[in-house]
Amino acid sequence: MPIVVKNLTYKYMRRTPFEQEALSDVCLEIADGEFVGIIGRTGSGKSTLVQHFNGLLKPDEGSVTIDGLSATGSGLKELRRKVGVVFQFPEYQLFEETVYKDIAYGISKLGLDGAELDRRVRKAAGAVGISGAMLQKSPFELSGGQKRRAAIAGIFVMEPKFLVMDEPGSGLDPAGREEIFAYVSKLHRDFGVSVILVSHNMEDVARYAERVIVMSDGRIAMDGAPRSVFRRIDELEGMGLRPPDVLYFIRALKSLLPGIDDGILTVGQAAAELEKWLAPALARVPARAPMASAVTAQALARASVASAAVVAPASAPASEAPASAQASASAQASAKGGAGAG
Amino acid sequence: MNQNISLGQYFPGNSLVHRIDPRTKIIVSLSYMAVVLAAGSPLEFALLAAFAACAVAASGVPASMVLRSVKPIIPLIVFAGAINVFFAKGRPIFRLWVIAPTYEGCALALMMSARISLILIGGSAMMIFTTTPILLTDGVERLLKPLKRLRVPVHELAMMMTIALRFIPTLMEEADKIIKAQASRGADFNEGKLLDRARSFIPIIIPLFVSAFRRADELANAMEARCYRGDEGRTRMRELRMTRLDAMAFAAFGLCAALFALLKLGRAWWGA
Ligand SMILES: Nc1ncnc2c1ncn2[C@@H]1O[C@H](COP(=O)(O)OP(=O)(O)O)[C@@H](O)[C@H]1O
Ligand SMILES: [Mg+2]
Repeated sequence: MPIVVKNLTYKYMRRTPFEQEALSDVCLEIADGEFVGIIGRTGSGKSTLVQHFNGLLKPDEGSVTIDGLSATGSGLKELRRKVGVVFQFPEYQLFEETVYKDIAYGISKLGLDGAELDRRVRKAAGAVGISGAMLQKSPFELSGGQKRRAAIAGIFVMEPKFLVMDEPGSGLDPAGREEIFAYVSKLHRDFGVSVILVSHNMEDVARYAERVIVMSDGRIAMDGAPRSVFRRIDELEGMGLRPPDVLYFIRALKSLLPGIDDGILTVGQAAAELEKWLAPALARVPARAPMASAVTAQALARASVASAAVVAPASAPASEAPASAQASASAQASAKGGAGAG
Repeated sequence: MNQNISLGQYFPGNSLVHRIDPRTKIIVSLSYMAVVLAAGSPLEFALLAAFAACAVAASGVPASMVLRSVKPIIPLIVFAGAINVFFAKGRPIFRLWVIAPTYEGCALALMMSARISLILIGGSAMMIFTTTPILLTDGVERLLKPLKRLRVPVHELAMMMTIALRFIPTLMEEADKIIKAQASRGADFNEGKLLDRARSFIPIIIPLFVSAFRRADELANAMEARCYRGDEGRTRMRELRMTRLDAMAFAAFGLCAALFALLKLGRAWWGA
């Protein structure tokens, strides 16, 4: 059963001069196994919303149910077991003598011990890239990024059915981010875990989420597939958000190549699309040996150079490019594009 | 919740009372308390209550909020009042075995309740509601400055107070976050035996202390980076300055005190 939020209103510091409505009349349903991205500028109510999912905050008005459970009395414990929440800056929750013990804290509370506990701790630690030796260190000896990983492992280890992550990537190095998102995607894909990713990094959301919810001033402003949400660039900008740069790139290209697919969300997709369009021109641009770390970017760069080559002479109309594509050149290009997008 | 505590009971506003210099408020409040302690007749209490009521009205703080500040000590008032009612010597109202409330006891109890309430409302609530804690410590520092001659580290003490006040909300917020994070991991703070409960706070206390020390370090660095070296040659961004408003406040209180003295004298004259 899904997460159902009905007419949720929440005020901080109720009945004081500082009262502030952080959520107003939010209605929302998140189905099992969805990967939802929640975006919105700081202070738009994202964190407040997700804290209702495991009963850390109780609705002032309206209701929140998860799998039919609401955050009252005996339901609360089960709720917290089902819904794992990774907070913003989770590294400040570490307290045990060793990283191992800290990761194990949650499940030892559930009464797990022995081999099963050990297996789960090591699995969670592995997922975030914490190696064997590091497990026996004090969490306070770790670097910032390592602390963050350890704290995230402390939630992974609970194996929740709903995984809520509040800005998990902010302040992490790109590699660490990649690693963690890869694992989350795997949980989502292979085990049907519902993931709710709160982020103001549009790239991450565009890449992983199947559905995007945009919050603004405590309300849901947009809710839909990433393709349709991110296309509304001007509205998003009005709400203090900036869609991924690729969208601007594609929008700019659209005047040159009117037929281009403007539902593109990631650099990889853009590269593939461009290669398709510019296959004939690409065939004329010499391919250099791809650098392992920047395959996609290189593909995009090549495509851009090619597009310049097509557009600059302004001889043939750009939109005719694919039609005149040679079969062999096209096949060669799309093979490269595929490698690039992966 | 956090901000509430951060500012103590401070009620934001820009009323006459808010704008009075904190030193004036401290002096007037303390004097007012002394006068309240000296009061002994209904008329005197009425006069002092009227003064407090004027102050509340001028401050723009809702009366209900001011009255609420008496709430925590109501049990004390009731308890002490009951003792007075039943144990004070005097004419009994009625007699039931050894229980004999007296008229004098009732009067005493009423007077005591009035005294405590006035001290709380006029003496402290007004000052606390209308002055930010930071301004208050500023005021205290200035008032205690003469003690520096006696080698009392007035500035350092005031600085510590200010920093502590400044960091209460920050640490509250931090505690709130940590509690939520640990609760999400299955921590349970009110279950099990006493020892278990005490132990369940470890996951909160440790991160909180770690972060407090980290913050202290950072703050010390920041202060040194800005050349903080104590009171010596230090100027203020917010100079405390007495204005006509303060003269008015002193005058109003002086008037009240004079009336009070007259009442007291009158009572002594006509003989009580
Ligand atoms: N503990 C709190 N006390 C008071 N106000 C808060 C608290 N947490 C958040 N708020 C306020 O609620 C609003 C929503 O905050 P939040 O949900 O944290 O936004 P986001 O996560 O989108 O940045 C903000 O205006 C913020 O100032
Ligand atoms: Mg937030």
